[in-house]
Amino acid sequence: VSEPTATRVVVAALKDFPPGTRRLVEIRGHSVGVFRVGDEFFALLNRCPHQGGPLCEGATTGLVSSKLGDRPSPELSWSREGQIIRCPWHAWEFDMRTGRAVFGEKWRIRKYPVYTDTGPPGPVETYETVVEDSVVYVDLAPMRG
Amino acid sequence: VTPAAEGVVDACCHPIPVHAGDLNARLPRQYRDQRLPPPLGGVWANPVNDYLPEARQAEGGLPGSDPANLYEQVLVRQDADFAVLVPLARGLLADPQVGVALDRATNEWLAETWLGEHNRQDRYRGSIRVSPRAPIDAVAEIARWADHPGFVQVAVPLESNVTYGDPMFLPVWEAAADRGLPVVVHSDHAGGVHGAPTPLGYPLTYLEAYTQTAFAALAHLASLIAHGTFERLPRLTFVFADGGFDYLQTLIWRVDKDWRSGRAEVPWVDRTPSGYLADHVRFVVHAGDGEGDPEAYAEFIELNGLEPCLLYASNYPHWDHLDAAQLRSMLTPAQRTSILGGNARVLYGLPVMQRGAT
Repeated sequence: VSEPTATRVVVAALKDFPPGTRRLVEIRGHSVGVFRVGDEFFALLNRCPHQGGPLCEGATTGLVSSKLGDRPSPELSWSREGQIIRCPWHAWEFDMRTGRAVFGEKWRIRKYPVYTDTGPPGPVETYETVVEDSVVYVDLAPMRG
Repeated sequence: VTPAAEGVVDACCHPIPVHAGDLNARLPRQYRDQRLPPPLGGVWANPVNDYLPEARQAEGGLPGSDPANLYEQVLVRQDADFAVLVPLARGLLADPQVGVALDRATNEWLAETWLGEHNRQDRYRGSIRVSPRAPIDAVAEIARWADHPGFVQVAVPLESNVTYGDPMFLPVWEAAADRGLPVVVHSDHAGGVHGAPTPLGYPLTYLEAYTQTAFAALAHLASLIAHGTFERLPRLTFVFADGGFDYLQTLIWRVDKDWRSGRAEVPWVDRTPSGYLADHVRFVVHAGDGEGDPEAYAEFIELNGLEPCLLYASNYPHWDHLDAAQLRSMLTPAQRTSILGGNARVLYGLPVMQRGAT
């Protein structure tokens, strides 16, 4: 396990962080939620941009969508299992991948890159191989102190 | 008051047959023995006066039936270039096919009279009456009249047992939208087999029934938005002609707010619901709407961005007639241009008349 850099904060050992779980970590006075969805990691500021609710304590869900086709009654479809987080206060949905509110309107949450030390430099979203005993970090660079 | 540079458009005025039985006589023989409810009144008739006193006729004809009176009291007195005529039906008749026959008779009557012999200056426009609960007939009736230059919209009752966003009505709205015809919704003020007019059943007084009429418009509108009707039919416009723009605003605040939380239930609604209003929804201004103080009235419209959504209408010959001069005195100059005529001109494709030429 390599030393964290000035902006990288250790969240957990990868083996202790199974898919479908989350960690809430306190970093420099900010609460940050780190989510593992399959082999992807997402880190979000635990503060809903709507009214400041503890967004990362909300339920994770999938994306309900629909296309209005020729059928009179449009069918709902389901995708992105686990990648949508719903604020516990007013149920606003956010996309962990983009940080944007699913309903749009330019609402977005602050999002941080997550790394494992053995992966190539870059967000874990693009990291395909999970290596045993590696460590998950959150990069705080975007936080600017 | 100086006359508007562009004249007023009366977006909703009700021509009435001379005698209550006139339309009955136009039904196919097999329906002619049906006893239709009267044209106005129903269960909650105004105890004082259903009609504007000056709209009454000496010869025993119904108010709003005399071409010279209507011309004088609507076009001349309101300084209006055009009047959009919305004949009323008789509520939801028990047998929808009788309603369909009455729609046909009404459309033939309007085409012959108000859009025909009474329309020498081409200043009346009409509405194609259809019954949405008989969708196949409604589509056929729209097709039948769509190329007639006098008909500029489709008219349906406010009364319904199903809200208008239900996909069962889509073919009707599609037929209108495909031909660029807005759909106007107006209460028939009649009896019939529709449900109680409030969610808690039947009001005991006219005051209650009258002041809650527009709630049904809100239910239809919320349903149209929730079912993605305006997403499916980008050319569709609904005109709610019983007023209630003040109710509309408080409804749409809630729809916007709750949609942000409940989007997953209606994922096809992919813009903030209030964003549909300017493109797809019009409310006719009604005498009962809003605050009486002119400054507060204009400010409410301004604050809520409702100017593109509102259309002046006289509601002639009903007692709650709204005078164009009265509305003009309540509006800002910009609001006067759009609400008294500009919005309706665009919606119905009406030309600018040469003022003073007649």
